[in-house]
Formats: sequence, C-alpha cells, structure tokens
Amino acid sequence: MNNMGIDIKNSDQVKIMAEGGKKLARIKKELEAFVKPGMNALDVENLVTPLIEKVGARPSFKMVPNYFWSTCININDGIVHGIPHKKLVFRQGDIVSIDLGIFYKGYHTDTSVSFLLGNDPKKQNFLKVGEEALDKAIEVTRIGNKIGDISKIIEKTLAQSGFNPIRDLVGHGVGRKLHERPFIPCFVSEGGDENVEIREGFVLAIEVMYCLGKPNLIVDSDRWTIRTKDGKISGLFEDTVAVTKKGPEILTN
Amino acid sequence: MSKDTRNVVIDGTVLEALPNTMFMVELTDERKILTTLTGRMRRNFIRIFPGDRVKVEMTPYDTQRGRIVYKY
Repeated sequence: MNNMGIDIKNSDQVKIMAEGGKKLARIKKELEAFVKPGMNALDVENLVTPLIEKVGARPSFKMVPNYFWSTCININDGIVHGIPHKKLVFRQGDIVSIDLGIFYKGYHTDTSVSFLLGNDPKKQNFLKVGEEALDKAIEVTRIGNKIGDISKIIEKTLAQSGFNPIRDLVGHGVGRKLHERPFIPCFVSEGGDENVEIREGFVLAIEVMYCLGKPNLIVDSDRWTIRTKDGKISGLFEDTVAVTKKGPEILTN
Repeated sequence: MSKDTRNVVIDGTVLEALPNTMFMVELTDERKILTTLTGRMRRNFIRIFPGDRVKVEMTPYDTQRGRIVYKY
C-alpha cells in the first residue's frame, strides 16, 4: 500500500494477475464467438460459469454482495450490471455487452466487450469509437501520467464523434479486491483521483462506458440493470491493465 | 464490473444520540455506522431519538459514515 490508499502490486503479483487475465481473455473470446441471435443471456451465463471453474478460478461477480451471477449482460440501452436473465434474448441488430471477471490465485481480473449482431454501419462506428477510446486510454496509462489523463483521452475520443461518457460509473483499480482505488471516470471530473500520479505496479480496470444520447441513467426494478434513460444505445469496453516500466501491459487480452 | 459512484439510500434505526448531532444508526443490513443530519433536517428542526427509523444516504467512498436524510 502506498500513502494514497492505492494497492501497488509487485512483479510477482502482476505475474499472477497476468496468468488470470490470460485465462479470462480466452473465455471472453470463446463467448464472443458463441453468441448468436436467438440465444438468451442465461445461455451465455451457463457457458461461462463452468469455463471459469475449469481454469481453477472463481467468478468475481458472484463475490459482489447480492449479485449471484458470473456475468453482467446488457443489450442496446442497457449499459452495465445487467442480470443474465433467460428473457434477455439477443436479436439481429442488437449491441450485446458482456462483462465478466475471475478471481484466480487471490486476485481479480475484469474485462468487458461490446459487439454488434449483424451489420449496421452506424452502430459499428459507435462501437469502433469506444474501442478506440479504450486503446488510447491504455496508451496513456504510463508511469508519470495522471489518472486524469486516462479520463481526459476517453472523454475527448468520445466527444470527437459526438458520443457521451457515462458519469455515474467509473473504472477502478483491481487486485485482491474487485473494486480498489483509484477510481477512473470516463470524463474529466473535478477532484476524485484525477491528480493521482500513475506508478509502476498499478493495476487498473479501465472501462469506457458511453452512450449515443444523454448520459442519464435509470436502474431497472431488479435493482441491478442500469440503462440509459432516453433508451438510446450504449457501449462498454474494459481491460485490466498493469503499469510496468516498459509501459502498459494489457492483462486481459 | 464498474463501480457505481452514485449515493445509495438505506433504511436504518437510530441506536444512540451522540454529541454534535451525530447518531449511531444500525442499517437494515446490520452494519452500524456513524451519521450526521443533512442541513435540511437541521433547518426543519426534526428531532431524532433512539429507536426512530430513518433513511441514511451514503456515498460509495465511505462505508463507515452516512447522512440522515429522512425520518419516518
């Protein structure tokens, strides 16, 4: 622990997290190829849980109080924390966002991906921008930069295409706990962990969360699923990134 | 899974009145936390006694403290 309350990982810890991240990345790829129109979110959940257990890990999200699933699955206006219900059926033209994390050898890794079922140039462009924002954000996750630099580049990349960052949710440090400091907003906020200098041994779950319309959110009656108030589409891209002397190392890729 | 940074409002019961209009409140999930009154609760001169049921607002940043925003 350093004095800012941020848990710094040593190279052995990063190595373990990289091992876990690799396993998580493989599961993520597998389910991306698996999802087809007509399937439902529970099908994905039922695929993922045994895969996580098979690699000797535990689903991180089941360790979150009152959340009993391995994945969070959302479509279109659903942005995060969607419960993988059977009634959530994927259709052609849907944007599907899947968020999952594993707890492996004492450490969490966390990743998300959004993809489109079918072809729609507008939606494809929407997702491309989010992916680009995450790439650029990871690129600035270097020793000496500030947490605010990550937020700034995400906001700027989204704004260039007219998209809006979500303001009520943040990316976060990750390690022994799923949610650690620093908190990483997708926009430049006054205060928070913005001025925290990035140091070697930070491991961050950088999340790009954004929407086509206004960033106001509502929570469904299940008290978990969070969606945009105006019902316009949203996207979610997340990777766990370790800060090393050589630069950012994406653990969940 | 992202971290939700919005405040949450939880029900609780006042256990004890402490100095400086602070209260020890037991939340419905059995956590005991230290709370203060919001300005609105002070202005309207709402009296809080042990045993009262209240709504407590908490930020995701501090799990030890909260603010009483409503008395039932």
